[in-house]
Amino acid sequence: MFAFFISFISTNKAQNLEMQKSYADSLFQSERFFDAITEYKRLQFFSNSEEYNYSSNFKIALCYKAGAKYDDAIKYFNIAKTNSNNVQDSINTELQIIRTNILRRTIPEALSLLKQIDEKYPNKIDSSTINYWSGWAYILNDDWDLASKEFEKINNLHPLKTLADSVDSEKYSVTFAKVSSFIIPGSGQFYTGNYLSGIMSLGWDILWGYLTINAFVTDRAVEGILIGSLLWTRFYKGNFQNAERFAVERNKEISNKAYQYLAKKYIGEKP
Amino acid sequence: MVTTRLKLTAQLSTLIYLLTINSLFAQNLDNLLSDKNRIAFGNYLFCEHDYLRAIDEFDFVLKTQWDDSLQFKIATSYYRMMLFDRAYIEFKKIQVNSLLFKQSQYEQYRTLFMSNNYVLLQKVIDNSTSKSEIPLELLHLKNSSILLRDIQLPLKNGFISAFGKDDRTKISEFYDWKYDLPYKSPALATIMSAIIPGSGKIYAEEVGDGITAFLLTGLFTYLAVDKFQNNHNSSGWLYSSIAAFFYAGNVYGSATAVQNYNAGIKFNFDREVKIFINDRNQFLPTPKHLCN
Repeated sequence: MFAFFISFISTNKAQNLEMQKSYADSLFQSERFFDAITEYKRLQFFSNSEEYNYSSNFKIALCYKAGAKYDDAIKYFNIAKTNSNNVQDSINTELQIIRTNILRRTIPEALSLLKQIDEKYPNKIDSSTINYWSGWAYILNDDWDLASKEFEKINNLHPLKTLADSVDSEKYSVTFAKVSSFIIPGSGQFYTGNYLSGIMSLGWDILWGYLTINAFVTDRAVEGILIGSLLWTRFYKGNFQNAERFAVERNKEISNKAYQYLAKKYIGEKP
Repeated sequence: MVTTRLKLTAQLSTLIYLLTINSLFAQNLDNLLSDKNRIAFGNYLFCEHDYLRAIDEFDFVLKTQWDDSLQFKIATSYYRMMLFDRAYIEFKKIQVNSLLFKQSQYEQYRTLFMSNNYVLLQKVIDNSTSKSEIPLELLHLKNSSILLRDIQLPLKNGFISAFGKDDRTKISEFYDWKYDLPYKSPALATIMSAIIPGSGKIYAEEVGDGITAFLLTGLFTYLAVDKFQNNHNSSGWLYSSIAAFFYAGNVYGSATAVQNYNAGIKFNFDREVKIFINDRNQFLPTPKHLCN
């Protein structure tokens, strides 16, 4: 009878913990991530066995990830990894660490981990998975050309390849904008669609250039040096700096538009 | 007889067993959420530095029963999250009859110091006890916080004598430093730059800017005069405008350069004093056994 009593108590505790897990899971499902973390931590605290170590730490990490607390998420994914029950759990956790690194924009770390995981589990992970997350890493690194190459390895018609190609072709060449403004002031601004700024830039450079040369021609060397150094060079320098800045800004707008599409409309798996 | 006793024992055991089953079933999940377990879990979270969740657990328990040690931990959690205003309010909730009252008062002072509220800190210290009986540690904190206020310093001997031998030399250095902070005068810088362009900037230790201002203003003034003398009036006015622009900028810039210089002096002094006070835990005893 005593043995039965003891067995009943342990069964009851197990039931309690199972109910606690269900409660935490329900909070997780309803996206109440702060509360879910509390309940998973409570589960860990009251559970003496290692039964919930992997699942609770993994879920805590997912909650932190959903709340954009990426450092905490990676910390808990790593704890989950050390408690994983099988190879598949380890792979899933390591992929989550990579995806969190992509979101955290620690791209070199993500790419290095992708290389490691590929070598560590040669026959366990599909190469398309590695290519897919490498592609995403390059996308978040604003490197659309390399992203396109990674998605192309999966499928030539992969929707993310098409997107990466279109963004890459839409982008402005920062070098071209700058160099063209070196040669003809204002042309870099025209290239990036900033016509008024282009005309103003050209106008100022013609005016100060004319006054500088005119001063030298009419033997007013000091005036020529002053206008040339204080006005003409200043406007000339501003001209190509502006062209470069406009190209960078335009490129950011194009990338942001693509990121918005990925966040709101893309239905495939995201980091 | 024996049979009857056995029967009675069996019935009694069954009754106890059934009562226990009922009670355990009723507890179910609530068991993990009992006050005792919440406190244990809250303590675990607190010691893991998960303060926000620890506060939630302690708060829940406090709804049904007052516990000054939980209240102290809630306040400490806010303090450690650097939410000093809230921490101060929470420390104030600990009543005078609590064993933690004295420590909570210390924490209030510490919190006020950390939130740079030196005026209230001094007021609270003065109000908490009669001036002649201010405990030494509070006198240390009060005096050292005076160094961080923009008020006239009290007499040096009385000011530094409150400190122990080890700290007295450093406090004396701070006193002298504060007494004669090497501020510069914005008015003097303005006047200097108005007379000799750039000299105000050199006075504010911006030598490069000062020389540039002097050269540019001088050069454009020379060109303006030269143009007017040669009857090139339009060029003369152009250079006059540029010279006036540089001159005005040099005067205004000198005043702001001195203001920046003074802000830097104050910042460095405050930083050094705060490092010193924080190294000594604000001269107050720190709470112990919070995680034991």
